[in-house]
Amino acid sequence: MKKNVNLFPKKIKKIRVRQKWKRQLVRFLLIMVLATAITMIGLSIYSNIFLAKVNTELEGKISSEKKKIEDLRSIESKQVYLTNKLNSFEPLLKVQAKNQAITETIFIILPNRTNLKGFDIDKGVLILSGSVPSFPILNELFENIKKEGMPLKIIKADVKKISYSEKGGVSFDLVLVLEGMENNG
Amino acid sequence: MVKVSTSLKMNEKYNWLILGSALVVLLMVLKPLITRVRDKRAEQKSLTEKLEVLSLKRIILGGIDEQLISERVMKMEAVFPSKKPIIQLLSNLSLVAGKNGLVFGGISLKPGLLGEESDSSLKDISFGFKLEGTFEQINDFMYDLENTAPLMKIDEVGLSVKTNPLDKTKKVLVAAEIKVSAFYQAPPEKLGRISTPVALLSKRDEALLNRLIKFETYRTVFPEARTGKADLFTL
Repeated sequence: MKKNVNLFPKKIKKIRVRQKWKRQLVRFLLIMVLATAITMIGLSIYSNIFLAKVNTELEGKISSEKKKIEDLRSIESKQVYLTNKLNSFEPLLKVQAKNQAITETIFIILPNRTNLKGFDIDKGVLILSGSVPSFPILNELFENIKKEGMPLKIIKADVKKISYSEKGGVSFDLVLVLEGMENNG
Repeated sequence: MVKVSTSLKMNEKYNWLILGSALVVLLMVLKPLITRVRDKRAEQKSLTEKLEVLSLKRIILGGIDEQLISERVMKMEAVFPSKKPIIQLLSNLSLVAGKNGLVFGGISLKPGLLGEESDSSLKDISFGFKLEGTFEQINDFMYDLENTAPLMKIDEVGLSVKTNPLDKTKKVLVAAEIKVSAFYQAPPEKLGRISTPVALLSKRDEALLNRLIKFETYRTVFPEARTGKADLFTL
């Protein structure tokens, strides 16, 4: 007859209790993992559905806004036209105003009966070549150059040549530098 | 005893294996789900930003006075046209000359291509003309030129006295040869994407647009001529 003899009853009991706890722990962990997995999967699915709904709503709002903007396209094109033109318009106005001021200054200093060859405004200096019928009128021209209160201040006036013709006219070559012209040319 | 111990160990191993597998499966399932949520959130953020931009654009466009902007566009087109302003130039210059009692003529112009201008860069057209009148009349004409549409820049001026210098009468006739440049610029061909924000006009732009009002625009007068295509059978 065979009989089991327990030589370490206390030790075996201890081992059994430990193993039981281990099993319980693993089971608990397994349950926890499963619970977390189910919760997280559920939350993810819910978030996906919720966000998809929100995004669909946003897309709807965007297409509605786009339609409204399309209806205002004519105003937009006019606004774009104006802003685009204004970018070039401002420097043009400045150039026009400067050239206009130069012309006005020249017209103020020129006495009546002055013949003048064409003067180019866009150069760094103004070269005035012309003729006047007499010396007093030439003197009037020089006096006018010295005058104050011109549209543009005359910074420099250089008389290059004066000649008297047999027909009675006085020819002159004059170089003028007006305010704001120094940076040209 | 040994058998029991081995069976227990195996059981334990299976449990850990199940736990590990569960974790792996969990990660495999969760990862794409979380990635998708993250993508959807990024999409939501981008859509919200887009909606904000579009709403702002719609509000800005809705706030623009259509009548005012149309008037400004018309004025701008008269002052700073989109096409070569050949006819307007000639017509307006002759009208300003006439207004100042001057004789207008001697036009030299190189208009170039008459087709549609495709690129929207700034272009100019130069031309010369002659005026005859008194010195004061020419002077007044030059003043008027500054505020005559289309926008012109004086390039060259030449003056010659027509009256005999020895003639001491008060009225001295002067001939002026003037070269001017006029500017034009085609508008942009495309408006850009719908989400492109609308550029607002600054105070400086408003001041420039107010400057446009000062420009005088004249009704272009077209010369009338019979073309020879008249229907001879009409009464």
